[in-house]
Amino acid sequence: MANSDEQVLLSRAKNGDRLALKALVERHQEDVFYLALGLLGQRSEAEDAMQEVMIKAIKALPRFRGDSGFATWLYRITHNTCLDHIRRQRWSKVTDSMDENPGLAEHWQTPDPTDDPGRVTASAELGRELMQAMDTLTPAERSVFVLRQFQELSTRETAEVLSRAEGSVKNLLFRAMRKLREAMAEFDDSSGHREASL
Amino acid sequence: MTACKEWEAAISDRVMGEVEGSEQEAFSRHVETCAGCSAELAAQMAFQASLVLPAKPLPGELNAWPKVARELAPTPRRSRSMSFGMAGFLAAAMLVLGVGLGGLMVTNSPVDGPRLVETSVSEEDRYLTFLEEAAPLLLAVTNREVPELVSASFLGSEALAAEQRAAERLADVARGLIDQLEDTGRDREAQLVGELELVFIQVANLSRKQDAGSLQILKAAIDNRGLLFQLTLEELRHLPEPQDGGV
Repeated sequence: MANSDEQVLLSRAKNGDRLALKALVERHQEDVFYLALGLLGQRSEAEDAMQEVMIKAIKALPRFRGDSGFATWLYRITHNTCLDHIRRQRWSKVTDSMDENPGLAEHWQTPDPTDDPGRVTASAELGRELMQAMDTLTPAERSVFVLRQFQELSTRETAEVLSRAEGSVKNLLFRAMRKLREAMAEFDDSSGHREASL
Repeated sequence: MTACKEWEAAISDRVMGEVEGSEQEAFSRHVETCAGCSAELAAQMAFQASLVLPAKPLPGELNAWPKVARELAPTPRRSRSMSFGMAGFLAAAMLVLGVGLGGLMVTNSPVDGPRLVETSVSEEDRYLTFLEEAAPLLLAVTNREVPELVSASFLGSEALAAEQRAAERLADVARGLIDQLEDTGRDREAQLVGELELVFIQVANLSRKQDAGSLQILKAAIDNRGLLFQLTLEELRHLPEPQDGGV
């Protein structure tokens, strides 16, 4: 969608145009949800966060000056909202309750229907492992990893959302990737040991 | 063997496909002679290639707007007392009070941002729309058979989740509507909407681990109170009078 189109929508929304507000919410809700899902790990929490972000954003809309893109501004609100959720609930609970709450594990990459079942199961298993591995990251590492990998933002955009230097974003991503790789290798080792002991 | 600290950012760039720039040229020369950086780069590239990310939501899967609209609407005055029990349950379940979704518009407030205000959709229209939307949900609940209720595929399913979202929305609509009906002395209608509100709150609050028992109790309550019958009767009562020349 053209940027000028978004500017028109924003201008109308700031003047209280209901249809423009609705269009903005509908245009950005998937991205906000997906970012929240990456940060929080659970679908139900991500949906709650999405609603909260949209309400905050609309209430704050008159103060949006357009210094950054609207999506960047929205991501920043999403990130801060999710951090608040996490502070309240602690990171560790995210994976502890995965068996009871459909989160990332249930939402894993939709398999091609032609995929063979064994491969699909392996993919879901990888998803669960990555989710658990993400729990080893610091909040800053996790934020950078999700913004770069899930949202596919550039280094510059990620830096803008997180109000960090680009160099810091790169270093955090490096550390996040290394930690995740090592954590997943440990899972592989322990599952190999389990299988061997059976 | 570990990567050199000063080249971590360059490794990160390379893994993410950012290969332009003088720093990357220098890194290319460095990596040819540094086993640590070379190994780390290869490992991170392999990890990147194997990453399985969550699926993005499907188009139409999410709908944030109704709740956002309700949150931004002015909070209606609450004056009624509970007509029957479960006050504690209701208090716990009560979210932000809302008005019906139909007929909302926006005005701009310089302090709080754009706000939605009620238009002049009549109380009668709200009542009939509510009944119209309530009927299929009640039917869906009462028509479920026990084997379906206890099946793992139903509990926690998207079908149940969709019904729960609809129930939550209708419960919110009911709250605003009851006040309106009571204010105009339509106590019988207010009582019916109040009973439906309780049913919808219970549907909305079913947990994913819910056993069939609670749903069975809910079905029995709908049946005992004759809610479906009352609802149909109300719809018939409020059918518009035939116009002259009508068939």
